[in-house]
Order: sequence, then C-alpha cells, then structure tokens
Amino acid sequence: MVVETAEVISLNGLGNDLFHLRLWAEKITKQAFPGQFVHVYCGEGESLDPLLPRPFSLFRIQKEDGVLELIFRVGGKGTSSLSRKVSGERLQLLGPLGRGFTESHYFSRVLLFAGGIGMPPLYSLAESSKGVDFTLFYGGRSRSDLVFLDEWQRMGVQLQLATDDGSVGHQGTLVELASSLLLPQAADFYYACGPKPMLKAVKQLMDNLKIPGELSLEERMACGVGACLGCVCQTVDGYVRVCTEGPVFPAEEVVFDE
Amino acid sequence: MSDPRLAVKIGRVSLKNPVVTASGTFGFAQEYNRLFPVSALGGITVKGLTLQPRAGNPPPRVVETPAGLLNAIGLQNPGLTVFLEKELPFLRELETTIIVNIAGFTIEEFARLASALDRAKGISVLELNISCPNVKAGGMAFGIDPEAAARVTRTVRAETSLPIWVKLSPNVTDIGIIAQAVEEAGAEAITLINTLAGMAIDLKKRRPLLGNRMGGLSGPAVKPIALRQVWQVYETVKIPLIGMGGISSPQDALEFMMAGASAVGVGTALFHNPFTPLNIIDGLCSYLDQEKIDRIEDIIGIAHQTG
Repeated sequence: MVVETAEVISLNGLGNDLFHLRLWAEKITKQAFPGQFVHVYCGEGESLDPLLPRPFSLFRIQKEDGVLELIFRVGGKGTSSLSRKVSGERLQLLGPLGRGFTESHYFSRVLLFAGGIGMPPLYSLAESSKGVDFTLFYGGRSRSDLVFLDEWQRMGVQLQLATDDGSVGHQGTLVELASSLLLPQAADFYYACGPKPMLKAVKQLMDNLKIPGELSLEERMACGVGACLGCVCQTVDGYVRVCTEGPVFPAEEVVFDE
Repeated sequence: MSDPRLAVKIGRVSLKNPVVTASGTFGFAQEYNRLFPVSALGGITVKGLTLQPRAGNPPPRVVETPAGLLNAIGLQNPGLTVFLEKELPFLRELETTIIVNIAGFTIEEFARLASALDRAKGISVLELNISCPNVKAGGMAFGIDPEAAARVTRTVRAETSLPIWVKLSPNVTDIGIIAQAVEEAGAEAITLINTLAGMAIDLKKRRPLLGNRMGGLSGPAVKPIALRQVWQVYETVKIPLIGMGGISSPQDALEFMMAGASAVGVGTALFHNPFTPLNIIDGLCSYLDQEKIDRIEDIIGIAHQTG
C-alpha cells in the first residue's frame, strides 16, 4: 500500500455517464491484484470538497508498463470532478487496498456475474488467468450499460447478456438468465460483483446449484485502510471492514439482511 | 527527531510536538503506520475503548457532506481485554505519547476501565469520552450534564494516577459550564470538540441514510464552530486544551493554538490526505522560522491578548 502520484494517460467517455480512465501508476500497478481497489483523490488542487477519496476496483492491471485502468460512472461530486481530468494531469492514489479474488487458475470452469459497473474487477481477473473456461453473465438496465463486450469476446470468454429493457440479450435479470441455463455443479467456482440485491440472488442460485464462490462488496467508505470502521458489512463473524477484510469475501461468509 | 521548538506541555504530559490524532480516526495506529512512521506524531489517541467488545452500528456508517463527514460507527471496538493483549504491545513500543480514549456506559464501567488501564504499561493519558453521539446509553448523556460529567471525572480520578483529559461534546448550550465542572472534578486537560450531531436522508428510500439514523459531523465544515468553542473554554478554565474539529492544514492548527489550544487533534483530514499530521508539523516549523518565534508555546492563546 502506497500513496502515489499517478498521471492520466487517457480518459474516454463510454456514453451513459461511464468513463474509462487509464493511469500511469507504476508502484501501485506492480503490487496490485484483481479484486483489490484504489482510493482516488478526486478534488481540484487544495480543495477540501469533495473531502473523501473515491474507491474504484481495477479494470486492467498492466504490470509490465505500470498502467492501471479503471472504469467509473459519474454519480456525484467526486466522480464528476474525475470525469473532467485530461491527459497529463496528475492524481493522487492510495493503494492497492483490500483483499482481492482467489486466483482462478485453481479451477477449470468458472462463472462470472457482473451487474453494471461491477464488471471491471472481473475483467482483470479473467485477463490474469490462463486455461480457464469462463462464462460471463453480464447484466444492466440497457445495452449502453454493458461495455467492452468485444474485448471480453476476444479473451475467449463466453458471454450471456441480460438487460432490463431487452435492448440486448435476455430481457430481465442476469440471475433469471443464469437459472434458466445452469445445471447443478455447472462450474467449479464463481465470482460476482454488482449491486447488493443482485449479489444476494446470485448467492442463492449458486447455493442451490452447489457451486462455491466469492462476492465483491461495496459500502460507503472513508479511510480505506481499516482505521475508521466506516465501511463494514455483515458477515457470519459479525461486522467486518469491506476495505480490509474485503472487498472480496467467500460467499458463504456474507450475510444479507432481509 | 522532532524540532524541540515544537514541544508542548499538557499539564504533567510532555508532547514532542502539538499534533495528535483524534480518537476513532486512527484505529490503534497499525494501519497508518504502514504509510508513515506514526512515532513522528506528538501523540496518538486510540479508538474509543469500552469494557466489553462492541459490534457497533449497522451500515451505512459514513456519508460525505459538503466538506464534511457524518459518521455513526457506534464505538465498534474489541473491548478492554483484547486491547491489552493485542493492541497495547504495539502501541507501547512507539516513541510517542499514547492517549487511550475510554467510553463507559455507566460510571462503574468508566471506573473499571480506568483501574485496569492504570495497571497497564505504555499508556500516558486517559481521555474520557463523555461525548459520543452514536450510542444509546451513556456516551453523550454524560457530556451534556455538568454534574454527570463531573461525577465521571471524579470517579476516574479516584481509580488512576494517570493524567485525565476529558473530551467534550459541542452539542450543549454552554460548553463553558461543562468545562468548569470537569476542571473542578480533576480533569488535567480538556479535549474538544467531539462531533456535532447531524443527519442525512436518502431521497430514493425516503429514509435516514445512516444505519443509526443520526450521526456526528466532522471535517472542515465544523472548523469555525470548534474554534469558537475552544476560544470560549479557554476563557473559562485554567487547564490546557487539545483543540480539534476540521483541522486540515498548518494554518488551521495555528488558528486553534492562537484561540487557546495547547495541542491540536487531526482526524477526518487524514482521510483526505493521510499525511496531513506530518504536513502540519512541518508547517508549524516553517511558521516559527518565518515569524522568528522561539517556541510554539508562545502563541498559545495569543489571540486573547488585548491591545
């Protein structure tokens, strides 16, 4: 974990308030693993507003050239400020933070579940694994929520898409789609990242199909290093820190409220 | 080595510089020690400690507001026994002043915490948390009533020979009355301010955003209020003050010291920049150079001078 001044290589709008940010951040990239995250200080200069850094999962970790890629959706002050950065501009990062995914090369058939902006960490996971048969269930409200589909295909990942409006793939949720296609023990392991209701439904389905896996959680966060206890989630061991014990948890440890 | 010009005395306690961490923002120091040598600080105030382990409040526990942070952690901590076994051995080895913030839900609990910590090695100060806004029993209830605040202070005084600092709540009509009460009861310094009670609503869910509904506001947004209360308390008591509330820069720290604080606490600003306390220490040195002042202690309360 280090604080590093990163340089913006490029920032591209992907439409629908989504942005693809490429950063030169050699130290953090060298240390980072799929499923971990970085804190990005989004404010302008000395401004104390926004006050807190924003946590982002890692879309691509290019260790050889020290390039870190993130995808984010503009939702508030911090991400809005971040979306105005230009090439060459510098940004403070803190990372890599948290515990990432179990490496997937232990498994031969792996399912990935991505809900909207939950896709990026699964991409770096798939990219870092050789010889694994991946199927990605990728869901969003509409076609424009689903990005980098060509790149996913180029990696040889089988895609199963679902949108609320039916503009691409199955009309409905990715969990409905998965439950219509998957048989018990259809895979050795799964990884899921997305909104809580989706994670809860994925876990339930996977439990029924007797497939173990990991969930990447999100919670409102402050320090990012485990000091403030702001970002806890409920687990079988009580409240634990998403920033430190997570953001990736074995699915069987996570407790969803009713 | 710390610049000797920055040394300050808080009653019986000597700090090598006037910058300490604010309780609850720095854990038990191990996390931030991975980013910088925490021994460089004048003091470290640890997360509020209770007799029994506490799970804390349901999430969400934090929400950002304009230049501020609302939190409702609810004093999640491992409890006295685990603190003594797992956290204190690390803290004891640090070359800085260790301030242990304790929170009782009854006066009896304060007494038991104080007596157990009095026997432990490596603790320099007990800071009495009578101002946490995020717990149901005890907490702030002790800090908004001068008699209850004095009773807690007197009880702890009888249990320990350690210096006692009392951390006050800003959520009162007249903070000076509480300050006087704890001074008379044996407090050796006053820490102020704890967070201001506040809240936020989730528009989509049409419900309070924080799991605990209400929380405590900190960060730059509260700085003028904290500064005003430091000023007021400085005029009502003789014991030293540790000022905090939104301090994010050397300039902020200087304002608090000129208003009467002998030391300053940095909390929420750590989340904006983890190196804030170090930047403040450096900035105070530069200030002494520029202004040709021999000791930082010379500016404490200087804004109160007339003429």
